[in-house]
Amino acid sequence: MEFSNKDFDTFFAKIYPVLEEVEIVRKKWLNEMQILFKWFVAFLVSVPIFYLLIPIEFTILQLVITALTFYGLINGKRQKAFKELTPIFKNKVITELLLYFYEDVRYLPRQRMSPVVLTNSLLLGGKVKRTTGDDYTECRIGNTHIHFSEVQAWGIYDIFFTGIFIAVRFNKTFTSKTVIMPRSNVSLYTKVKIGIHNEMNIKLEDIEFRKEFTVVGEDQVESRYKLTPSLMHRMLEYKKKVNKKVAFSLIDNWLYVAIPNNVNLFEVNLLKPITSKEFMKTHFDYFELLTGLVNDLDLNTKIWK
Amino acid sequence: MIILVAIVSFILIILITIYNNLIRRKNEVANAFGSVDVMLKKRYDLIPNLVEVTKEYMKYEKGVFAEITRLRTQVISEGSVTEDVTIHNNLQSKMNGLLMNVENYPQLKADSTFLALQANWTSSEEQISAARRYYNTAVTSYNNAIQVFPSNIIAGLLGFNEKKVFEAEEIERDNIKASDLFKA
Repeated sequence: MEFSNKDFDTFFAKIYPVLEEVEIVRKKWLNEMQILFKWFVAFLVSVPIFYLLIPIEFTILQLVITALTFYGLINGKRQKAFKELTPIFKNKVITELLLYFYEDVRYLPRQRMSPVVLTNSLLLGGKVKRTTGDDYTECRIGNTHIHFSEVQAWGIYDIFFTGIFIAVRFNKTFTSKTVIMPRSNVSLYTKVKIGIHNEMNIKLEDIEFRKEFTVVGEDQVESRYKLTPSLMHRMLEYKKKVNKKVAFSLIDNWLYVAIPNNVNLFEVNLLKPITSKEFMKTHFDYFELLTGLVNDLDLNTKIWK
Repeated sequence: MIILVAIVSFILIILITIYNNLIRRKNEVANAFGSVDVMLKKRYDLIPNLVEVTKEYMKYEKGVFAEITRLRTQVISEGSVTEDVTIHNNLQSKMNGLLMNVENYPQLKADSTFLALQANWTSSEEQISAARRYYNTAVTSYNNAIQVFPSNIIAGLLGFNEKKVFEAEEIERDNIKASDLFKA
């Protein structure tokens, strides 16, 4: 399987008939919206005319109630269209994209990573009580099994992580834990505390890597065994590519990656044409970025598999 | 009087902090050195099994096996396997040559026990490299501490000496020639 240089144009040509199908539903909603909007404008224009012709008094309250009724109608229609479009978009378009990129795909649009996985990763700075989110995916890239989803991690009262969470499984089980946090999350004068056994700062020799990341682990030698100079370089490159405060951890037989992101991905936009190349390219690029993780970190040929 | 006591106490605290810091770094160097030793010993424990498996297939390389066994015994009999770098490098070269020569023995290449041992050997190489990197970081940190002011004064007075980092030997820097490495 070829992982790089996935051709967007080929994929777009293949998916276009499906996009047209979804676009019909969106256009139907848009037409209904236009009609409602025209009625609303007509009402607004007719109020002063009525007022001049017939001595009926419109109070402010009546106007507000009418405006709210229109708003309620528009919102109701939007919700309905969204409910109708989302399953079609996810089951047809996103599934096609996943199948184009990965093998052995299992896609659960309404599921997300479990709080246990997020807590075990040690990347989110505390115990995750519950999660919200969607687009849970399990798949395989070459020899590498990968799980990911959009997720919001909740503590007791508040969200402390929003973004994409990726878990990559290896055949080798490490005996110690290693956590690689973005340097900007940590003050220069405070030590990172993530609450692992025999916690120690791992001072690596790559200066550029040290500028971007701070590493905490349980074993100096095993942390360095995992973080070879080439893997450090690849992690740096991946961080530059993602352009977010990406964090990694290597625990047991898993590599966890947390990419903060406030945009709700893999969703349909009712106001933009679904058949637009630009719209599809955004989704395509995100999947290419996720696939790139396996390529960029060279996970398929890693020595510790 | 109180001011004098305060100044002396302050200086004493600074001296104790510097001394403790130096000791901590020195101990870390010793610990890192021990890690390299452990990894090397772990690797040398693989040799008898590797030799046993390969011997069956590579019947014409008796000299090499004898040499490897002799070097291993010599390395193990030393207190620390990192003591004699020459023997270590020699043994390393012989083993690399042996593993590279496997290409000429298709039956051996297909042997599952050999493949498992070869994977372990490769993995142990990575672990040794990681241990050496840890040692070098610890030594650099220690050397920095004994060279910068004011800890260099205390280090000088108490006899803390500069330590050497692991450097790739000439033989490791050169491109490996399989034929050279496999000479008995």
